[in-house]
Amino acid sequence: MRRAATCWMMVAVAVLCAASLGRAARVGERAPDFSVTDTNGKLEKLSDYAGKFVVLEWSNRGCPYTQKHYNSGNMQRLQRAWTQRGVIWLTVISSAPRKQGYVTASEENSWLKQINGAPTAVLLDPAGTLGHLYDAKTTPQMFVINPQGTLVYDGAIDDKPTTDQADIGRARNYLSQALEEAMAGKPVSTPASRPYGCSVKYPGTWF
Amino acid sequence: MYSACWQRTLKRAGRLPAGYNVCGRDIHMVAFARCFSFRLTLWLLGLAFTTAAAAQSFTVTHAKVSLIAEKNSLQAGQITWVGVLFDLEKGWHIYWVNSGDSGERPKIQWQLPPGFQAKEIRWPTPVRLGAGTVIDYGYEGLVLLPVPIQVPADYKAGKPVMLSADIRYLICREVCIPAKTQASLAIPPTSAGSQAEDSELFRSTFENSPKAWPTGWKAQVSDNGGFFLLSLDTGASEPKATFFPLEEEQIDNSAAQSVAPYPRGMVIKLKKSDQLLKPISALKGVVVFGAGRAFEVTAPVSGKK
Repeated sequence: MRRAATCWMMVAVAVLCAASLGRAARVGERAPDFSVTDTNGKLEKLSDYAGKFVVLEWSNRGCPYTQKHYNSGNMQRLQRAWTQRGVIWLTVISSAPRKQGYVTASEENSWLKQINGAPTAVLLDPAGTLGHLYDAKTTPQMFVINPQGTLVYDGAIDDKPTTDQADIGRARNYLSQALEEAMAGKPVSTPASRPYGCSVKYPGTWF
Repeated sequence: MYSACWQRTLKRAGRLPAGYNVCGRDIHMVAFARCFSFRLTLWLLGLAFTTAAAAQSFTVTHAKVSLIAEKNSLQAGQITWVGVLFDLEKGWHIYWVNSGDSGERPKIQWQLPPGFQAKEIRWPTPVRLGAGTVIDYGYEGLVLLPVPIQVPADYKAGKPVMLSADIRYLICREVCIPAKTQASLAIPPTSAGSQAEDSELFRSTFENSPKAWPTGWKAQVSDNGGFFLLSLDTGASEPKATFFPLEEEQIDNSAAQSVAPYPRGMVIKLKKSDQLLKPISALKGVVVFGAGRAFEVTAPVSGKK
């Protein structure tokens, strides 16, 4: 009886194993290349930045978790600090038209001026293609790609998943930690974490 | 943070009906003005402008939040169940202990009389929320989050007991709003009046909460690289099941969960999370079979890691 049950279970496992799914960008693997237009009309290609560290930051200015890091100035400080050290910082907006966070190029550029933002470029991804390529789930969500083109960090900006600005000072910043370690030639101690925030407002989803 | 007027109102009324008026202003407007940032205020007013006429009342937070008790009396040394009741506006949701891909679980900070001790929320069975590549776990409609409260051994009936809580929660529809509310509940010195309605809410919530994994049932996971195969031996073939992970970033929340039944149970195939880079020793969570029967499960992981 036991043996029969085990056998049936193995049949069930075999049935499930027959189907397999594709996988998005994963830490330790090659970061998928992309070419997306930025808010200045320039085509940004990941392969153009080979040899440099690249940060991808998913953003939605209507999201209270994104606002935590922009209203406090934390995100702008990080953008400034890391781009000054040669990092390419690409902010990505994957909000679909008529959804929260959707912006036109000129709207985003005037907003950037207003908030004193300092990314290398802001990529507009209203179809969600780049978002799905990296399987970005939340705003904010951060990715770090090393000069060899390998994804070395995927996850949250820090370890305090709240909307409270007061938590920023108490948080361990995973992004800065990953960049510091990778630049020093060390393995990244926290290469992945659960990103926290609002869902990315992809087309077709209702929240 | 709250005005004296607001506090008095809270003490007088355990529960605040929508559109409750205080000092000539809608109570939710009063709370709202103090709880939300200026930016959010502007945004919400903009949103409300088209739907609300000048003096018309509207529930800004999209939820009525109150404290209720299972029984209206306390017994020394015993557990008493108190809960935060969320009456959510249609289309809006709050989150489970593991919120899934986005969102954040509600947090309760208690202010209790000396000797009283609040324990962890007993989370009711969640539902899957969302679509596409972002899936969350949470609740819609009328949701009670029950909390066991230990009554001190030296408690003597005689005075009413005031239980208060600061409740922080994220409430979302297409957009998300962080909200904070204060609620109080006075338990009378002697049991008076009927609690039937509230007791019934506790009863139905407990019924819809995960039960302990029955002895004699087996649960194990084999790790085949990209997937976890969760085998559940329940003694009966189960055609339907959904697994809700208690830990974040073990499984890919949005991946379809395929179920293969076999005569004594089933195997659920769960795609691993992209953020899971280390082997895990067990999958912990809640499994919901057809008809909403839910159980807490801890399944050890074997095989390739």
